[in-house]
Amino acid sequence: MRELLRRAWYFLRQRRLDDELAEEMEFHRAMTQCEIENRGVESTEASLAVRRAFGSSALARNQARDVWIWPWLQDVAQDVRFAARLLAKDRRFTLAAVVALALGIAANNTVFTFINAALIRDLPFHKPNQLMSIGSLDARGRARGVSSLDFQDWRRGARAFQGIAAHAGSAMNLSDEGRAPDRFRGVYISANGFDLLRATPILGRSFVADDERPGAPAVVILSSSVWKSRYGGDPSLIRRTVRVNDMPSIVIGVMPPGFSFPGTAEVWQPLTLLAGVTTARRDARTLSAFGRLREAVTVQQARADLGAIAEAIAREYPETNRGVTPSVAPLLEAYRRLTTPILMTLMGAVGFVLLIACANVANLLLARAAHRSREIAIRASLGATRWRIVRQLLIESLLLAMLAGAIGLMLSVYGVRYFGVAFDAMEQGAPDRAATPYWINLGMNGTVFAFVAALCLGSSILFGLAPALHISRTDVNDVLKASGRSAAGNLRARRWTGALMVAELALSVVLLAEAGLFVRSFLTLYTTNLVIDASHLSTARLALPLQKYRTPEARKAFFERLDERLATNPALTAVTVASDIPFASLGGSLRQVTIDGRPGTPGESQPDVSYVYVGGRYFDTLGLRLLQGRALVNTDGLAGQEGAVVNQRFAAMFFPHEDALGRRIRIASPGGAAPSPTPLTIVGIAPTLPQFGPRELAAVPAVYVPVGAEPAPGRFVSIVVRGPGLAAATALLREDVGALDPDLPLYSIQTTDDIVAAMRFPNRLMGSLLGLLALIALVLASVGLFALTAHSVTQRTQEIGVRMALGAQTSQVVWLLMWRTIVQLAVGLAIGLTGALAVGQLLQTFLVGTGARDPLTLTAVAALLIVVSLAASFFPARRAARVDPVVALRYE
Amino acid sequence: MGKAGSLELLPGTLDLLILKTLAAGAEHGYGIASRLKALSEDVLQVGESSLYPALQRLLLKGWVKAEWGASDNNRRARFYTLTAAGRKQLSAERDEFDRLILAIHKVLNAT
Repeated sequence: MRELLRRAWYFLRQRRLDDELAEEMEFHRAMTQCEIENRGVESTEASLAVRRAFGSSALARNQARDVWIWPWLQDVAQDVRFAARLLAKDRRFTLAAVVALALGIAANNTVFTFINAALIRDLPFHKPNQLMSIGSLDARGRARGVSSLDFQDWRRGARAFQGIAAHAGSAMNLSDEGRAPDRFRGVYISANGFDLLRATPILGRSFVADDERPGAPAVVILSSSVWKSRYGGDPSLIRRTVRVNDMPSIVIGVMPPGFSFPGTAEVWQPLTLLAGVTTARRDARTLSAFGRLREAVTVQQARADLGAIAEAIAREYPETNRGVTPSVAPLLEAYRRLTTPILMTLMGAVGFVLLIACANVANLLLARAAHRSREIAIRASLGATRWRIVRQLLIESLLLAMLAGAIGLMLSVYGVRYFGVAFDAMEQGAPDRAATPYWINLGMNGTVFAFVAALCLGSSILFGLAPALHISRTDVNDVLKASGRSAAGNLRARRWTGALMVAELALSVVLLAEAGLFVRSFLTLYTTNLVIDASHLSTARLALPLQKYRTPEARKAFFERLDERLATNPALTAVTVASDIPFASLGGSLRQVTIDGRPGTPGESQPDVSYVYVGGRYFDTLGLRLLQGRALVNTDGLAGQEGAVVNQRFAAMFFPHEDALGRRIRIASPGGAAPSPTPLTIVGIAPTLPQFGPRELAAVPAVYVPVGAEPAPGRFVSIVVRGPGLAAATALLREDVGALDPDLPLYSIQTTDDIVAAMRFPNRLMGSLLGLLALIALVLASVGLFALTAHSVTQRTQEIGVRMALGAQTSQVVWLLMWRTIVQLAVGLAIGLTGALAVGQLLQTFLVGTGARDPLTLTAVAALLIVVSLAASFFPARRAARVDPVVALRYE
Repeated sequence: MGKAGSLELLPGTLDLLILKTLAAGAEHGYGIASRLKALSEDVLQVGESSLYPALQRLLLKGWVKAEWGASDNNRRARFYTLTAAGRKQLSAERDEFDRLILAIHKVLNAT
């Protein structure tokens, strides 16, 4: 025990004690030199004599120092030195092993960094695990939001929470003098929201209860980025008035840089300013809510607490709240549930790559083992225990893995950067969809480094243990007698390598098949016929604030005035206004349709059709040539002569055997089933456009109606321009829109090319990523096969020589060397294809237009693997068969 | 080491000899080596490479302790002294050694 303390003491004061030791020895030498000089020897001669007598002082110091260090640690250090020397000597082996492992580790760490950011790291708020997202479950258990009235009651009654806040997202148009209006992601949030997050503004103040009082002046808080980009970081902005969705609001605060909540919101207003929130019914469950648990309260207690309140509410308001229960879950759970499958898919794929790399390195080690059996046998005969030998071999493996880990870590920094940029690009391509949340932090922290360390350790055991155990079982007598090639050892090694090769091939098949499925989905998206030339179309959207454009008539008037104004702009040759953008339909435009003179079967609903109301030059601008009939003209919108154009799919669906032209149809109002009283006459048939973009695989029937015939236009207005390029078109559109309403920002400004690219992006990313991983796997597996066959050729050169001398044909020798590959390939393919089917089922949700059982993909993968692996083993085998038997026989 | 006239020590005996040397009083490394040499009439010549590891071993076991002091010619030197445990160890090892020598003697003198 005391000894241990002294060792610890030494360890802590190592530097000082080493210096003392050195000084002491120096003294010893000086004294010895004195002594020799006293005998009358010359000084330099004496110094040489001392050096001769004592030898290296560093060595002596080392030996004295080693007393303090655990003996086994010393052995380990020796093993490390020895292993390092071996690795440095066998450069080709080291290079091959390190490259394979580094690729595997880099891929794993890249994906893990994303997993760490999305699934492991906590929200950057004070005590984030106290934050719960709160919602309702309806009587059928479906997830719903929270209604304002329920929220008030919950907030008042809940004891488990320090507080509950509600919020609702909305686009917010910011406008003020001197700047073009702009649109931001905004959130209406109850005044206590920021307090619950423990977030305070860097400038000005947070919301207070008084801001929610009826009649209080409207206030707004901005994110740091909006403050900087739109207002140049001007501190005097506080207390100034800007217009938010047309409502004059006082800027009261600026949040810290990087802060956002929820998601990517940048502008916040009190919840009471949300139109209609104060008068909403109890069953209008449109708000989101979150709360902060009191100290030491569990999620279950919080559920029970809210549940009791909800029951009381249900008794009081049975007609709106019967069976409605609250749901309480950690804030990030929903996001994590969404991102987990895709990240886990990638993690699985990179895990496979690392396993293949490990199998490969294990095989390389086994191949090397044959050359080392003599060395090991000598060590064993000199008294090394089996454990000592295994340890030494494992230290070699660990050294390899650590080398690869260091390189892999560096590579993964680039990987993370590249895919971080890719995700950002995806966000910019689709500014309206949920972007990467602000709290995603792709920095590498302790968790990531621990993961890399665990990977190195785990993989070194994975690839090192089997070869180490195999080699350490070497029979000393056998080896020393048989000049390093023991038959029994070879047989055992062959079993190991065979199993590893089968595993490698099977894993490769799975990866290749999944990558193939993704590539197929991707190709499906690419080969979708877009019908029109999407390359010269620019699009933009407008959202009319309902506070200002309250009535359908007001919105219709704006729509028509804008169309007119754009049509008369000489700089815009082809431009149109429409309710939706081709390829990027917002999806809110599906309606039911009835055909005049064809009574619908009661109780059976008609299929949904895509419904688009358009300005006068819609078809011209898109370059869509009608197949039959004529395009819409302005008079088609006039009362009494309402006309419509349908697409070919519509015509084929509803009028399969008759002429659709001239038929009359009625469109139901949105959400309602009652057909409109006004019939529309079909005047033309257009080609079928993929209204929902390249992901739309089954053609959707569509009806195009002039805006004049649309009784109740919604608040969204889309503009499509052919020609002048995005920047020029944007400038022109801004001018025209600004002339009609200076507070209306244009948003979603993008070319249709961008829209299509953004839609393909997730599949492109997954496809290219998995493709890359599968390629790495294929290369690793074929290199493994090549090395294995080449190795067995060198092992069997003498045997081959004998066979050839006895008259074996080249083809027979090649067959002899290749049949094992063929067996391994067959087993690997069988296991791999089974695995691919199982994994493919899990990935079904990501696939477009294909499935796990896609025969083309599976056949192609099998064929590819067969060709590559046969080639990988054929060439070394043929080389062996061409060897001169005389040379082969003498081969040693 | 390895000079004519000097002997290889039996394993473990160096520790015993150092302890014995220090029983006469505090001494530094060089002093220990010269005293061993003098007492054995130049037969035992202990080099740095065995003396200092042995001293470190004794320190580790807690049989000696080291202090810095001034040597005869007024240089800084590290002096080793026997601890109580060291004294006990010395007598124990001495008995052990005597028994061993006696045994070896008996074997060699057997007829």
